[in-house]
Amino acid sequence: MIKVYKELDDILLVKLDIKEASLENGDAFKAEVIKLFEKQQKSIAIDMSSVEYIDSSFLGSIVSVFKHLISFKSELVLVGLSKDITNLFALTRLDKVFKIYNNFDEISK
Amino acid sequence: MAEPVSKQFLLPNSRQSIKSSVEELLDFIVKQLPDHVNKEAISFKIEVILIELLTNGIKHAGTKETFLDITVSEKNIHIDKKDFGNRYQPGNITSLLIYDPGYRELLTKDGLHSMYAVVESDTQIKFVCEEMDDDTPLDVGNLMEHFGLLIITKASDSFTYEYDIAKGLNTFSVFIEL
Repeated sequence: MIKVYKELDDILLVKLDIKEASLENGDAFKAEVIKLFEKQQKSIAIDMSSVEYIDSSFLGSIVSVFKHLISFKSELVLVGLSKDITNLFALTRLDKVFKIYNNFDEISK
Repeated sequence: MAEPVSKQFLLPNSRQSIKSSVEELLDFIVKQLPDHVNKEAISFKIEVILIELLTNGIKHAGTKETFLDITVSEKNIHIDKKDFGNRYQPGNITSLLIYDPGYRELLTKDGLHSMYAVVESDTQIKFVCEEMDDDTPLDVGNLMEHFGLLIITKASDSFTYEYDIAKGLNTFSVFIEL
């Protein structure tokens, strides 16, 4: 579900390879990202540009992963959100919590 | 003024069918929208509400099917999601009969929002969401992880839950002003 795209000094750039982010795969997403973090011990940036559909369950999984990484002084950063997902983050005010970038280049600069 | 258009949908309560069900319902609603409506803006709200109503049903109702009654008029969209499954319990409220109208039960609270169930009658509650001030210190570790009710409440103009004891019927009702 997640694939490491590039490893920088302080952050891993990861691509989320699903179209539907839902109740169906939220727990698996959480488990995969936390496993990757425990192995690498770095902040993680997730490119979600392939995600066309998201529900509250998956949103909860993202927040849960975010809280886990924060507790280890690391970060979960989001990249490439579609217009609807950006709107959903604004509606839930999670856009005030997460660092959100348009693409990986903005992080690498 | 055009007459309101209503339709009832009987949908499977399964994870795999949510996306196709949402597409079918959204297509029906958008086709009925009056010309004065900003279809793109309202479609986002309708879509997230439908996703969360159906997801909530799968998580909590425990039934194989759910009913959606949809009415679109010149002034609003009304969606009733009905099932005969498990009764919804708002917070610690086990019976609405013992609370006066206006009683507010805190459901969730974090540095961004407080969510309440407000008793409207002995069979109905209304969901209310309050945004916290931007100056409120944000304890990230305390962020809520359940967003379904919050999303429906914030995307709609009214969101209520009613339980018909005699029929064992749960009804979640959403109004969106146009």
